[in-house]
Amino acid sequence: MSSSLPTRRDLFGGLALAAMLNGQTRPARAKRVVQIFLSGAVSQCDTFDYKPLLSKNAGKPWDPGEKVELFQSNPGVTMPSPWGWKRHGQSGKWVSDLLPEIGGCVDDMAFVHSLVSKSNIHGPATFLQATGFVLPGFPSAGAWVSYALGTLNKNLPDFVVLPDPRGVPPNGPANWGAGFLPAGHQGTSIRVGAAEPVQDLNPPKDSFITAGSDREGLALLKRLNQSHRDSRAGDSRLDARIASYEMAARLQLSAPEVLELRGESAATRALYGLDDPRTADMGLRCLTARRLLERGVRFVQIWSGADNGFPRRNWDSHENLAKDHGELGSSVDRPVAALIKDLKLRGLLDDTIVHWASEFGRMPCSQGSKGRDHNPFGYTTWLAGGGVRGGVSYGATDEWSYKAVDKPANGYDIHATMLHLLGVDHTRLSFRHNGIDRRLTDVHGHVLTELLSSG
Amino acid sequence: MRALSYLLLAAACVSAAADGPDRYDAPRAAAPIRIDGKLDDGVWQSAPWTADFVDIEGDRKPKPRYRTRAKIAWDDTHLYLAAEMEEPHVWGTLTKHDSVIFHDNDFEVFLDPNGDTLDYYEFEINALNTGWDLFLNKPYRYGGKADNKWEIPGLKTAVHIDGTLNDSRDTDLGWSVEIAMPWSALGPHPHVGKEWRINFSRVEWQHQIKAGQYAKVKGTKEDNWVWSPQGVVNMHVPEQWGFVRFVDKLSYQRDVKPIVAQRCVGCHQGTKAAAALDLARFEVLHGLLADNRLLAAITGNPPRMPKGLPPLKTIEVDTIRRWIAEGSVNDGAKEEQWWSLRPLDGRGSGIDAFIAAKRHQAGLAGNPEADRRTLIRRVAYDLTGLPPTPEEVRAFVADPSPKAYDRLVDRLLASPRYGERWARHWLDVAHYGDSHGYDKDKPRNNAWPYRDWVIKALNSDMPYAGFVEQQIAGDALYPRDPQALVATGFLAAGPWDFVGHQELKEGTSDKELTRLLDRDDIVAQVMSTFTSATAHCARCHYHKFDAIPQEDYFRLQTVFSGIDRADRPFDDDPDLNAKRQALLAERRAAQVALQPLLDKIEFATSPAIVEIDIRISGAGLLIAHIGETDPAEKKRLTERREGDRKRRAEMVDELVGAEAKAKVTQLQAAAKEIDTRLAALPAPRLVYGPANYFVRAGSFRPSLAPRPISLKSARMEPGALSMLKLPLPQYQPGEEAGYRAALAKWMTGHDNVLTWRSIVNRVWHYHFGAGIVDTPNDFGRLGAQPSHPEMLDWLAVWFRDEAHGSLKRLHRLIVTSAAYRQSSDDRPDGVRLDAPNRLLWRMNRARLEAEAVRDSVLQTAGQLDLTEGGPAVRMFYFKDDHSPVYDYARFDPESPGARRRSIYRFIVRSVPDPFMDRLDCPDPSVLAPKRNTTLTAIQALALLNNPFMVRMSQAFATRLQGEAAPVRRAIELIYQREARPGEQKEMEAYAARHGLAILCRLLFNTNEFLFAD
Repeated sequence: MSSSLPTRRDLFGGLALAAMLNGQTRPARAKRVVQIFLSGAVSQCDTFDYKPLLSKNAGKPWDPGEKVELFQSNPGVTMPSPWGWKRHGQSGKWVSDLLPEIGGCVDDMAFVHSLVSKSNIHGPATFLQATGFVLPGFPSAGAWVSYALGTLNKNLPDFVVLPDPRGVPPNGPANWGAGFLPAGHQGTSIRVGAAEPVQDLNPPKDSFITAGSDREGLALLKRLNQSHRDSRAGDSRLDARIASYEMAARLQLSAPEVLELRGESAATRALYGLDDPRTADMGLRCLTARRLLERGVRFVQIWSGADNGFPRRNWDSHENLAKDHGELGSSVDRPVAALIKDLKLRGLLDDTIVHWASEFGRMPCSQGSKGRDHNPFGYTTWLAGGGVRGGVSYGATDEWSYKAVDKPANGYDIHATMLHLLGVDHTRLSFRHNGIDRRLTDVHGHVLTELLSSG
Repeated sequence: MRALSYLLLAAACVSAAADGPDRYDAPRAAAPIRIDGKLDDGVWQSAPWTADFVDIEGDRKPKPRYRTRAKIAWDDTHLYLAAEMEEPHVWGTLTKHDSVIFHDNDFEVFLDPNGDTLDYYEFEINALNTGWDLFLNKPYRYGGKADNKWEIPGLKTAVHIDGTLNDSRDTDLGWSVEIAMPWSALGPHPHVGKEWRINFSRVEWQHQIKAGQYAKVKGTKEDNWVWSPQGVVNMHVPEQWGFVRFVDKLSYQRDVKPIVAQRCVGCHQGTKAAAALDLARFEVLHGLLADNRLLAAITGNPPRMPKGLPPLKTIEVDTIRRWIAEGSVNDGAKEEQWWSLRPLDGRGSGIDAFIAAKRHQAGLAGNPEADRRTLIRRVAYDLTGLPPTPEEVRAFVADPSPKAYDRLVDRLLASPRYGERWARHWLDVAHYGDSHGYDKDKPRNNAWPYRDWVIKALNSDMPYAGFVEQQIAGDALYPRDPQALVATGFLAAGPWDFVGHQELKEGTSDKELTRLLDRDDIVAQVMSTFTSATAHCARCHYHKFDAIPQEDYFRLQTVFSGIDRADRPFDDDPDLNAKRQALLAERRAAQVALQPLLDKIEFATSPAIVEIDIRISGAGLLIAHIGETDPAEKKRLTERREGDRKRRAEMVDELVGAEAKAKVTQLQAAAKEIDTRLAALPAPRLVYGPANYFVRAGSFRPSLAPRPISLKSARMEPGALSMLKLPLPQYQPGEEAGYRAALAKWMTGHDNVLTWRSIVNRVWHYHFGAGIVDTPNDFGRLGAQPSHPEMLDWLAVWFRDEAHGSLKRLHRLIVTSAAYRQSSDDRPDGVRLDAPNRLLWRMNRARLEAEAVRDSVLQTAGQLDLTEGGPAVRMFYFKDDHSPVYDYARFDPESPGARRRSIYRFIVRSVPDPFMDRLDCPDPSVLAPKRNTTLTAIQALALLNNPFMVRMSQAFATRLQGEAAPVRRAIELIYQREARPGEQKEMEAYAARHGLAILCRLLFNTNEFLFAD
C-alpha cells in the first residue's frame, strides 16, 4: 500500500528531479560540457588575442610602464608571434595561423580576452581553473556538475577524463578529484587507445576468470547478498551495493561500445584527423569525447599536454615557442574544430558547452630569445555551444596583450557562466565541509551575461 | 598595486550560501495555545509571518492568486503551526483520515528535523479538518517509500473558516488552520537555536459550480503555492525547504549581531570611510536606535542601507525590530554560552545511564546484546582493523566467563594492531601524505617517522595531553626526547607547494601568498584537530557565526610564522641528539648574522645586472630545451653563460663593496666550522617537520626569525581563541619554538573545554560511526548539536580527570557499554521515532574502510605481512623526474612489502591509489574527520577486477587447498561463522564448476564480508 501511494510528485521523472538537486532553479540551456584543457598555459597572443603592436615593435624593448613580476625571468624584448593572423567568419574574428581550423568555427565561439589568474604557478593555477581553489583538496568542476545534475546515462560515469597519453598534467588526477564530495563524482579516467582504457573494467587478461564464471558468479553473488539483506531490513546501503554490481555489469558492456570507433565513417575519421600522425592522438580523444557526450556523459575533460618537464610535452613554452606551440597547435587545431563541427552536425552543440581552458597565458615579451614566460594578468578562453552566443568577444587586454584592462574576468566567472547555462545558480550549489559551505566559485563569480545567446 | 589586489584575493575565502531557502525564527510560546483554528493566542502576536507564499517554481511563475502565510511556534511539549489562506470559495470533500488530501484544496506541512533530507514527515489538511500524516524514509526520487501507517499520536488540529464552507452562493474571505504536534511523535525535542528544515505548501484547484456544488474543473492542473520555493513542481526535495530555527526571546549576541556582522560591518568597520560608524560595537548600534534611525535606514523602498547591496531580508528586519521591541538589551555579558564553550559539567553515572534516559524520553528501548560472534567481529574490526581468526571466535563463543568480553577487549587493545588501526584515523584528521602534492608532486621520503610515532604513541597509551603537546611543540617542550621532535611531524603533515616555495623568486607577491596559504593549512589543521573550531573561517573577516575575530586567526598564524616544512635531523640517542640540536642552534645563529649580508649580495641589482641576468637565464632555457640534440650549440651557450656569470659576480662585488665581502668571508668561515662539527657526528635520521633552520634549496630558505604577520597594519603577537578566555602561557618574543610551546600548553589546559570535548567525541565517532556531535571538526554554530550533551561533558571530564587522558581506557569504557554491545537489528518503532539512530536504540552497522578491506583480504588469504614500521612502502612504479611518475598499474605485487598493512602505504597526494580511492580512502590533501561511504559501480569493479583482489582470491584458494571442506573453511575465515548447509552446497557447486579461486573472489565481494553488524 505505502509503496503505491498516488502522488503527483511521482510524476516527475528521474531527470528533472536529479536536475533539481542543489540549486538548479532555472531552465537549463545546456545538458553537458566538454572542456579542452591546454595544460602548461597556451599563449593568448599567439592564438586569439591579436595585437599588431607586437609585430610593429618586434625586438624593441618592452616597457608596459610598471614593474612586472614574472615567474622565472625578467621581461625581455617585445616578441611578435611567429604566426600570421587572419580574419575568420562573419564575425571577422582575428585568429592566428597556428589554429586555422578552429578559426573556421569562430562564429560559434564566445571569447573572453580578459581573464586574470590568482596564481602565476602551474600547480595552484591549474587547480584554480579545475576546482576554483589554488589549494589541493577541492572538487573538480566536473565533479560539481555531476553532483548537481546527476546522470543522463546510468551505464556510464557522469564525469569522464581523457588524459594526454604523454602523461598527467601538473597536480595529476587531483585535478579531476571529488575532493570532499562523495567519491562517485570524481572523474573516471579513460586512457583512449591504451590496452586497458578503464582501470579494473575487466579482470586481468591472464587471470583464471572467464566470462561464463563471471555471469554465473554475479547471479550467485546477488543471491548471497539478498539473503544477507533479508535478515537485515532497513539498511539501504545493502541494497545499493547489490544495485552497484548490476550497474557495473552495464558499464562493462557500454564502455567498450563507446570506445569502439569502427562504426565511424571514413569522413568522420578524416574530419578528426585520425589518419594524420600529428593529429591522430588528439583526434581520438575528441572523437571519443563526442561519443561519450552523445551517450549522456555530463562532463568530459580532454587534456592536451602532460607535465612541465623536458623534452617539452605540454604548452609551457618558456624556451622555444615557435617549435613547441607549433607542434601542439597543429596537434589540436583540426581535432578541436572537428569536435565543434561534428557536435553541430549532430544537433548536439545546442545543448553542449565546449570550453577551451588553460591555467594562464603567456607574456608578450620574450623569455631568453625565443620563449615566453607565464602571464596570469590577461589571457584568453572561449566557450561555444550550449546557449553561448557565437561570434562575440568579451573584455580586452592592453595594446600588448599583457594585462586585462577592459572588463577583467576570472575563472570563477567562467564557472558561474557554465553553471548558469546548465541551469544551476552557482551561489546555491554548495557542500558543507569543515565548517564552511564550499562552492565551485568560492565567494566569487559573476555570470557573464554578454556571452549568453538570447535564444 | 598588484601586491595589494593579490592579498585581497587571497584573503577572500569563506562562503556562506547567499540567497538560499527562506528562513524563519519560531518563538517559544509562553502560554499554551488553544487549538481552535484562530490565530488569536499570545504567541501568535510575537511570531512573525512567513513571507507570502509564492509559486512552487519560484520567480519564474506568476504570483499566487490568493495570499497565504504561516507562523510557527513551539514550547516544551508541542510544535505549533498555523496558516492563514485568503480564499473566496472555501470548500472541501474529503472526510476520511489519511485520504489523499491534496485532491482537495489543502494546506501541507513538511518537516525534516535534522535536515539530512532523509526520514521526514508530511502532513496535509483540508478545510474539513481532515488530515493525512505520512512518514518518508527518503525522497521518492531515491526510491523512498511513504509510510502511510505512520500517525501522529496526540495531534490536534482545527480549522477556522472566515465565511462559509461548501456554500457556493457567497464569497468567503478565507480559512485558517492551527496544528499542534507533540514532540514525542517527531523524535528528539529541539533545544533553543536548533534548526529544522520545514516547508509549507498550499494546493489550490480550479473549481466550477455544478448544481450549486463546488467541483474541480476536469483536466486542469492544481496550483502549488509554497513558503520556500522548490524550483520544480516537487515538494520532495527537502534541500529546498526553509530553515526554521527554534528561538527563545531574541538575543543581541545570537540573533542581531550576526545580521549586523554580515550585512553592515563590511563597510562600517575597518579602514573604509563608513567605518567611522563602527557597527560591530554594541554602543554604536544602540545609539542608532534613538529616533528610529536604524530601522529607517534598513527599511523603506528601496532602503537606504546597505548601500549598493541587496536590502536586508524581511526576516532579518523583523528580527531587529523584535529585538528592539523586546528592549534591545545586549545579553553579551550574561549571554547563554554556546554549548561547546560552557564549562564542563561532569555529573552523571556512565554512558548507559545517559543513553537510556534519552531513549526513555522518546519512548524507545535499546536492542538486546548482540550474539558473541557478531560482537567479536565488531570489536576486533573496530579496535584492530582486522577480523578475528575462526579459532579466536570459537574460544570466545565457548568462554562461559562473564568476563570473557572484557578480556577480549583487553587483548585487542594490547595488540600492536590497535595502534596501526587507530593511527590511520588520526592520519585522516592530520591529512598526512608521503608526497608534497601540487605540481611536481615530489616524494616526501621522511614523513613516515611521524606515522610510526603516532602508532607507537597509541600503542603505549600516551596520555592525551602529552600526545597533543608533542605534536605541536615536542621539540621545545621535551628537548631531551628525540621522539618528541619526531612528533612535530604533525605540523608538516599536509600538502606543500614545492614550486611556490622552492622555485618562485623571493620578494614577489606570489611568494607571500604561498607562505600565507602554507600557514593557513597549518592553522586550519591544528585548530580543527584539537579544538574542533573553525578558526580558518576568520581569515578574511570576523567569523560569521562563531566568536572568532580575525585577530585570533592572525595571532594563530603568528604562532607558526617562524617555521617551514622541511626535513629535520635527529638521533635516537638522546645525548647525541642533544648535541646535534645544540650545534644546529649554533649554526642557525651564525646564519642569522650572515643572512643580511648574503641578501645584500643576492638582491644587488642594476640595469646592467638585469640585462646580464636575461642572457644567463635565456642560455639556461635553451640549454635545457636543446637537450642532447645539438652538442655544439649547447657547448657554445654553456661557455657564454660561464663568462656572463663571471662578469655578473664582478658587477655585484663592485656594488656591495670590499668591506661587506670581507665580512661575509669571515662569517662564512665561522659557519663552515660549525658545519664541519656537524658533519663529524654520525649520520642523523630525518623527519619531515616544522623547521626553523635548514639548508637552503632553490629559493626555499628558513625565515630565521618569525616572519612579521600583520592585520590592518598592526603587527600580530601569538595568540589563540579569545572566546575561551584562556590566556596564552608566557613566551619569549621572537622565539618561534616558544610560541608553539605556549599554544600547546594552552591547548591541553585543564579548562580548555574544547580540547577535552573534541577528543572524546572523535573517539566516539569512530566507535559508533557517528559522533555525539556529528561534525567532529566543527563545534561551532554551523556544526551539529550534541545528541547527548550531558554525556559528552561527563565523558570529557572522566577522560581528563579519571582516566588521565588514557585513550585505551576511553576505548574500553565505550566498547564495554551496553549501547555498543547491542545488536544492530532494525526495529519498526526505532525507525519510526528515530530513524537516524541518534538515540542509539541499536548499534550502527559499519562498512569496512578501504584499509580494513585491503588488510582483511590479505589476512583472509593468509598473506598479511605484519612487519611493523619503517619507510613507506611504494605500492606503485616510481620514476623520479621533473614531475615524478607514480604508476599503480605497473606495480609488481610480488615486490617486498606489497602485503603489509595499509597504514604503511606510501600515500601520494596527486595520484591516489585507485583501489583505495574507490573505497573512499580520503584525499590526503583534505582534512578528513569523517569518511564518505559511497557504493558505486566503479567500486564494485575494483573489488571484482583489481589485480590485487584477483591475486588474493588465488592466494585464498591456495590456502584452502588440502582442507577437508575448503568451502566450509572459507566461510569460517571470511565471515567468522559456521557455514549454513544451503549456502555451502551452492558455493561448492559453483566452485566445482569454475574453481575455488573464483568462489573466493566472489566471497570478497559479498556484503557480509564488507559490513560489520
